[in-house]
Amino acid sequence: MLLYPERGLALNATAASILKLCDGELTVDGMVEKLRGEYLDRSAEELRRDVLEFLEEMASRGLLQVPG
Amino acid sequence: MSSAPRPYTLIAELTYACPLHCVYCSNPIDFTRHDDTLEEADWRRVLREAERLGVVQVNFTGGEPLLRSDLEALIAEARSLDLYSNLITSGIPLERERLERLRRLGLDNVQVSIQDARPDESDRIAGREAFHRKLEVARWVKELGFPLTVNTVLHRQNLERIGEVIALAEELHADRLELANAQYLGWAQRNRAALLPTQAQLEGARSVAAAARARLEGRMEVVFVVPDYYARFPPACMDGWGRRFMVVSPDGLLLPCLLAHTLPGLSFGNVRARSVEELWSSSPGMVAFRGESWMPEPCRSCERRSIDFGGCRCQAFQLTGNAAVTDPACSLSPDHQLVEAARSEATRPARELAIFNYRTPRNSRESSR
Repeated sequence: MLLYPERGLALNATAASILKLCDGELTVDGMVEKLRGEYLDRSAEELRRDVLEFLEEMASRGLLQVPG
Repeated sequence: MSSAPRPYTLIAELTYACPLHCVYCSNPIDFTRHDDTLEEADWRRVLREAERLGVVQVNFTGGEPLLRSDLEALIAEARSLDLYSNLITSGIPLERERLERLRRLGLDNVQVSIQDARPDESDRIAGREAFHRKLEVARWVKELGFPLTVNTVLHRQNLERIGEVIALAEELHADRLELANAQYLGWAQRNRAALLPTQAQLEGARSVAAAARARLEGRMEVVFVVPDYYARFPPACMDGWGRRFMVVSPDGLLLPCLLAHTLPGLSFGNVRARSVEELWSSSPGMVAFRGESWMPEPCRSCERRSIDFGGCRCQAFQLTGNAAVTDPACSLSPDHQLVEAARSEATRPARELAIFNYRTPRNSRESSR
């Protein structure tokens, strides 16, 4: 569960895995690479789509900030 | 009720004392009857027991929570339990050094109230000089790396300046702006003639907020809360009675909402005598309006009963004298004319602004005699 003021967001397993990789350093490609080890049944393309979709969703809610 | 639902949020009202006297304060009118009798050890146990029940967030509020010298210890306890902690404050009295200390102890978010974008208006609503100090505090919040929530309560005397409020929040780099219309309960109900806006005012403000929300997406979350009086159906007050939120009052009552202890005939147990779990699942007051079995018509057969849970019990009581009827804010309520009358009253031209009844200990004592 991702907690923020007055709210909480229940994350599914994939979303939680992606969020854990958001360290301000790792690139999208880097995340996909790491996730491949965890989600063997999914292609790099699918994972890439999941990552981008999730990051956009988080950014639009102001829950993820792009440095700089 | 076989098993109680899992609560997610604890609202810890550490004290009803407050340096401000806001005319729409959400504390009960008779707040002077309740002391801050709950001590640090009790509060720490409340945090632990609430966490064990499933609570993941705690809002430290009041009154003014900064008036408690054990706030530090409670924030540390919340951190050790991995609770997300939010300090809901007027910003007064606060020194930068103390805020820094709260940061180190693990406080997650700070919400600062600002009554208006204009200093004189803000101070008039608060009943004392506070505006400039609040801005200073809001800046410290950001400098120290906290997320900042700005909360402004809206009403007929400041709705026109909603654009200025948004600009101020942007200037303060707020992460979240709550533009919450007053709800007409307690002090706000008492000051209703001076506060209730017209539909036109409200619609104007709503569209300004919607535009800001779109423009600021990803930078600042803009939340606009409509007054129940202008909603066709009431919102799910507290997300349903005794369902997701638990409130502990300064004197230790475990409540489903901020004003439930003002409803006659309900008894809520005290956390000094019983565990949070026991009170949450089975105190008579807590189960009184939980679920759907208490509902009268038109709620009982209404499709929306599992969406809005019948609306607000305190509003039902304050408008009709009976807490167990459908919220009169609902357009389907047989008592809805009470709300319509107030709305139409608000449109009368050249209305004189009533003199405010400030939330002061003296006014509290006088009216609860």
